[in-house]
Amino acid sequence: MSLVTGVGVSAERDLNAAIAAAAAEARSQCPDAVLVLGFVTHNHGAAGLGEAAGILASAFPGAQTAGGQVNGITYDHERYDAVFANRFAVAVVAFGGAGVRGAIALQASAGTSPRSSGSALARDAIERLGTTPVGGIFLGIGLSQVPPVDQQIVDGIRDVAPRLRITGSGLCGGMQLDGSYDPGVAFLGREVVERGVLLAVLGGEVRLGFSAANGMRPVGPGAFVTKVDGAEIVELNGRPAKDVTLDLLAPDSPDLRALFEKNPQVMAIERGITFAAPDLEGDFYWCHSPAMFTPRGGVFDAFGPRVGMGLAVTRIDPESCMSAVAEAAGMLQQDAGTEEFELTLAFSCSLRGFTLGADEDGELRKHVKSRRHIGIVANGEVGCYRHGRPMFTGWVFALLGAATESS
Amino acid sequence: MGARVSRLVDRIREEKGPFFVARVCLRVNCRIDDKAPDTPEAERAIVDACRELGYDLAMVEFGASSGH
Repeated sequence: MSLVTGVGVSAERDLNAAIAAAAAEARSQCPDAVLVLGFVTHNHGAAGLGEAAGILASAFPGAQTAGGQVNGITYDHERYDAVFANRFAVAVVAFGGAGVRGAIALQASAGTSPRSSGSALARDAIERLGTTPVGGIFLGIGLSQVPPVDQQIVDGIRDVAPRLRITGSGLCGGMQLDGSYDPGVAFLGREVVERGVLLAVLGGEVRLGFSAANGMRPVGPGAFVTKVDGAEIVELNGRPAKDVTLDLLAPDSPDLRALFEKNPQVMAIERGITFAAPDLEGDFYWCHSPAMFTPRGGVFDAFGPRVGMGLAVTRIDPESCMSAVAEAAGMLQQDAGTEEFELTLAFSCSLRGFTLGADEDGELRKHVKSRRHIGIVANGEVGCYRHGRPMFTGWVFALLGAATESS
Repeated sequence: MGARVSRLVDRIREEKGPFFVARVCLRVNCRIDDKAPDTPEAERAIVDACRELGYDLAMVEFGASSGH
């Protein structure tokens, strides 16, 4: 066995004490780590992150350390969800072992020049790694910037490393009254950057698998995108997109329609209904959830709407949401070519927590044999569906699995 | 800025998380941000929205002290 990992989680309310405890636990399992990630629920606040980053760096003097603010953490049958339950936690994930290499890069200006920043991120990370990366973890801006730029950052990474597969999430600094996300804070070593983005890559004696599933099921007639302006769907079926959206997603009552009209994002989550585009290969639907209505009657779609795209009306309920965990687990084993993992790391959309409650972490253990498992409650995910390239999407359960044996 | 409304929203956020606050915000026809004025109507609307969502805040937060 070459790969060694360590995972520590602490729910202490004092951030410094929490990250010290989580780091100590991870270090006890993985004393010679080369790459360490720290995840901090955003309710801890950004002000203390610099000191916390320093504590993490001091705990792992021989490793590159990085991380940032997230919506929550799932670990050992507990869901520390800052969005739905205001629970606090810190997680530290360490990678090491003979022949295992790791490197992390940070970009501070990805929000304004996403594609070139993505390329710079990949170049920097790969140069630091000193070998061809096997895979990586991306921590971006997610849905905290409107329109989102994470797909463009991922495209920039792909420009430099076309075969590099990654998974991850947007970092997140909190939630506004209207349900929109605040930008998260990233750190690399002791450097702290608001809206910073991170790419962590692993290479050498390590084998990784990737997968993603969401559990969306088609339930009825949808609509075709007939006019788009950037991230705004202006028309569906030749009509104002807002009208069509309300007709399709909130047909039951005037009261429900009025709530959807005020905030389609919150109501789509509450009702477990959304638009999604079918994947050509299989029973998978790419999320195109209506995030907000525009003054001219359009619909803002964070996930790259295109003219000609057919959007199905899909539902996501506890049963289908949970079945996605099994689907992702099966896909992961196929992708990695193994059924035994040293570590599985999930990036699960925060919205899934509304549907599922706290059970997701335990469900994965039924389907994957993994020595350690940790989940991050995500803010816009990057996932790979059926051996495919990484895509920025939403509402998914995205998995990275590090195999027990590297060959 | 209304101290009572602000404290009420903070209390909801503390106990139920920010998404619950967003659900409440969606169901009230008044401001509940940090510039919202203190009015009985605003407090009543927030309490009613919480109750509609299955969270009975009235007894916890107000009881006999506020007259609501």
